[in-house]
Amino acid sequence: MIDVINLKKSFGNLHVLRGVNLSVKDGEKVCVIGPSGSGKSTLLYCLNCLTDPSDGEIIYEGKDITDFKVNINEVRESIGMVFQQFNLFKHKTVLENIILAPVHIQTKYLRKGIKDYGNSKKEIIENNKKYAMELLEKIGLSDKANAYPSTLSGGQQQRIAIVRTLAMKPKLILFDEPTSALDPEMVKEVLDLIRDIAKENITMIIVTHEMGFAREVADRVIFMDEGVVLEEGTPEEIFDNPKMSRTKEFLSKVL
Amino acid sequence: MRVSFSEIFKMILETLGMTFISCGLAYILGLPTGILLNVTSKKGIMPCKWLNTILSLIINILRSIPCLIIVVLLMQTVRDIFGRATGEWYAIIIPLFVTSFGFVSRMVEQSLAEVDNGKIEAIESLGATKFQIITKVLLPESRASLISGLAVTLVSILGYTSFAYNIGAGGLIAGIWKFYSKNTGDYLSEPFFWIMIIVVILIVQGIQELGLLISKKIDKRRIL
Repeated sequence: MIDVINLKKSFGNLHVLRGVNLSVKDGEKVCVIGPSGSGKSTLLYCLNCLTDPSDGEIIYEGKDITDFKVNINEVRESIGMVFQQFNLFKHKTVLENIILAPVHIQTKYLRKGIKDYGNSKKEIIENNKKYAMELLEKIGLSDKANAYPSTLSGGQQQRIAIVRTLAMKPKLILFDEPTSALDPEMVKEVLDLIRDIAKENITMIIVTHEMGFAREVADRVIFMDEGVVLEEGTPEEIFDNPKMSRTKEFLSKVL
Repeated sequence: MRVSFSEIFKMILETLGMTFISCGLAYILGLPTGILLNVTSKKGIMPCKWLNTILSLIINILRSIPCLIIVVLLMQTVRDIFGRATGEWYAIIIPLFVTSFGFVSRMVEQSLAEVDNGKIEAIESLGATKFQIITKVLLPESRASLISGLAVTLVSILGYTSFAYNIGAGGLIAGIWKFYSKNTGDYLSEPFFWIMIIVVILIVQGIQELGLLISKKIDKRRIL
């Protein structure tokens, strides 16, 4: 689904990514671990071109999306992203946050004459509201639909942010340390939700410091250090039997 | 010399007229310019160094010319537009607009800069175009700050309306000065002098409080 070939990114003299190669198959759940500053988040930000790579290719569904001729916004419609800081729009209610992007995109298709999502903007909004409420129902937050994000706990906000991503029906979701900004007692509710999503056929790339979670949910674990992928394998291979001394050292510190 | 209440009322209308109309004009031009300044800055969503430098330069030059000088510089322009450059309340509108335009641009730029970069990344990741980033995130997320900026701008333009005196354009502040110059001996003991000053204070208070109130009302960032 997505192939990263020799991806490099530098900020001035700081070389954050020094040639990352990574290939993720359809439906695969990949967890990226590694010390701070190893380039995990930068890699993730490059995958939907929120950060423009300095060099290398990212082939997503057959197209090199680093090519400026590719309409990156169309690519982003099928790539969801969940941020460390949730990034909900604070002047919009929970429901408005969730339906904002899909309503816009579907209205755009309607204008092009594609009526898959509804025959009028009103109908599209109604459909999206219904779907958003279904999703909120699933995570037990349907009573918060008209609340503003500032009135919710961190865990609730992050779950809403995940639902906002799901509302786009993405094929690939990028998680950037989704629990790092949360109070400890809220980590579980967010991880539980991600676990639930992992059961579906959505490809997921998760940057995380939750090793127990990575072991459980990942099909494959990537260990990054100093801007390269140092080691990759099944969770068992990486956590129980790491080959590289750097991986061993890192795991001995965090496990 | 005496002033009647109806004269004071006329001065109030003139002052409000100059202030709001020139402020409106300043925002019509200043809002887009402020947005442009923000998005073309180094950390903006479409950095463009030359455009940002040129805009900054123009605004800095405009802002460093004192209002009175701008009034003088624009005399001919005002005459071309209105037929005369002095004596009527609307003669001061163009100079006030030119003076406050740079101020407004900077205010808008600052307000937009307060928007958390994460929100911009979030909407980008949802596939928003640059224009949508501006209309769906930058402007809505900074609206509380934009409104309080508007109140500050109005009050500062109100202060600038004192230069209306120099071209006989009237208004309340010029009226106070006129009243003083006609009653130099005992102006402090004239109740009308104080009434006019109190009216100015009330107008400023009103604008400021209303601005704060609206700003708070639409600010959803705080826990209500």
